[in-house]
Amino acid sequence: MKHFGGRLVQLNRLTDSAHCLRLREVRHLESVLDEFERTFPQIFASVLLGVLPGSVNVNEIAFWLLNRAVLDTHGHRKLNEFAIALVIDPVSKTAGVTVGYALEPILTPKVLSSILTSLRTPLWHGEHASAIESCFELIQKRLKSAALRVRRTEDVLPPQSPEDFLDDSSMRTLRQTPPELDHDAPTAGQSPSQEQSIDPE
Amino acid sequence: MLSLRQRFAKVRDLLVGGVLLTVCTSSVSFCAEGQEELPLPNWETKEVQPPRTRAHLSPLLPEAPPEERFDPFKLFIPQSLPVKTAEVPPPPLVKLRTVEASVLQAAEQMPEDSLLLDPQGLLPEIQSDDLRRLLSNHASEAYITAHILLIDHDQVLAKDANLTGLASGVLTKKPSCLIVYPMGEPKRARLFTSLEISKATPVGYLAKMASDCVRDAQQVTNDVQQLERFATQISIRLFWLERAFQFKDPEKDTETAPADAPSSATPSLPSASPSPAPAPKASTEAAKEAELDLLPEVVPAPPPTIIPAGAVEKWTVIAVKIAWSLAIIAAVLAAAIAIWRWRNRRMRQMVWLLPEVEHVERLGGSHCGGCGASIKYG
Repeated sequence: MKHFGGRLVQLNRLTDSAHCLRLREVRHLESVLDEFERTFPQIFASVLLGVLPGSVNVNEIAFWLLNRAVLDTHGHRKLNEFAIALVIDPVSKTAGVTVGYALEPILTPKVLSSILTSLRTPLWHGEHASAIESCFELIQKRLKSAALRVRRTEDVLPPQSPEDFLDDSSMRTLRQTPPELDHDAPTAGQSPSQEQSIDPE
Repeated sequence: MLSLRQRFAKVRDLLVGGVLLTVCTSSVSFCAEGQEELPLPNWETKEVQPPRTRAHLSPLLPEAPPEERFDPFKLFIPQSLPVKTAEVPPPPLVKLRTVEASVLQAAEQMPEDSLLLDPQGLLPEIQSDDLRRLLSNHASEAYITAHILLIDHDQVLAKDANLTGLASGVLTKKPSCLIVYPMGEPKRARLFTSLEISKATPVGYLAKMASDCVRDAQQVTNDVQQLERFATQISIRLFWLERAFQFKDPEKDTETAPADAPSSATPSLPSASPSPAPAPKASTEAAKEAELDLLPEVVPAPPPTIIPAGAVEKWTVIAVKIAWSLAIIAAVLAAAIAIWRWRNRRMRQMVWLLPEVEHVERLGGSHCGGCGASIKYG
């Protein structure tokens, strides 16, 4: 991991730096991954299609990503232990899947090897989208056999304060509002009586 | 100025007139009242009873059954109420009888030029003349002559009836067509043609010709009109037949042909035509059959629109079965789709939770220990 350093990176759900996917395929895969995460709300699935340097293989980059990446989960906190990283290098024609500690008992290296073996043909034909989709279908089938099925409870509570709302949302304040533009605050030379006279009511 | 006496006379006249008028009107009203009160004549029981029929006079109409007799009580029952009526019995089936041998003998003795063979005199004279005129006109114009043997509506030809000798055996001498027509029963009409015609014409054509004639005759209900239509149609169809299969009269051909043409003036008789010498009476059955074959019968084709009742029932049963099968398949499909959609909707409300297990960090990784697999697909 010396090659990448110890810094943190933000990991998106689907990253196509090798430009192997078309826009329609990207949208379809995003919906597939959404559905996968909806079915398993604890798990974060990530796909990376990129050309790796020759000194790094797909397992190493996946290991580094799962340990150093901040998952972009749209406000839902998820643990990296429940993350799955699928890395495909179309130049070296290698593909690898790495999982966090929590999924190790279910998705053992043997299971992952069998799943990857079934993807060999579509990957060889360059059908990356269908290979990724079938990979997550197989993973989903395997996970369902070990998971507990419960009814979904959507108990979304309102934020307790405006600061909490701003923190949970993606909105960030760029700069402070200058005090002179604040019309509601009374100016220094104005008395409360004058303020009342200006007010039409 | 009138004198007093004259005035008195005038008043007297007026009084007398008024008295007379009153008397007349009262007498008239009295007479009218007297007529209303006149008693009805007393009829004796002998006069009320219907006259006795004489023993030797049988009633022309059969007596009505007791249910159909006049019942005055029915006048007070509204027509909407159900009144028990006697069931109308189906018309009795006509029992067919075989044509007597004497009738056929009489037809055989008729001269050769008789085209309408009506030995029983079933057709009235005027209609008979009309039909004869039609047939003779056809015979003068066409190569194939048409003969009609009329039989009664309840008569039928015997199976072994020999028709070759009708009209002095002219049917086997010339190409001709014989129709055995029961009066009022065009459906039972039978068509016979000479051997020459039946050999040169497809069976289907002749069968369709016969069925078309029958169908045309059935357009009307009058017996005589049916016969006329049948005769007219057969005449037309025979002309068509001549044109379609090139039947030509050799005599007419020789008249139009050049003089150096070969003299084949005699008509082409059927190859199996009998010799002019009369056949011996003690002929064998084979000879009889050979004689019958000289005038083969044309079986009319069944009308195309009529479907046998059994076939209709069979197809109805098949259609009902197919409809039930389709309905069951559609119901099963609908149920499967409904179950699938219900399951999908239910599954959308479910999530899968994985257990959180304790782990030991490996390779310095706080979240992942490098558990994975990789392949090389190129």
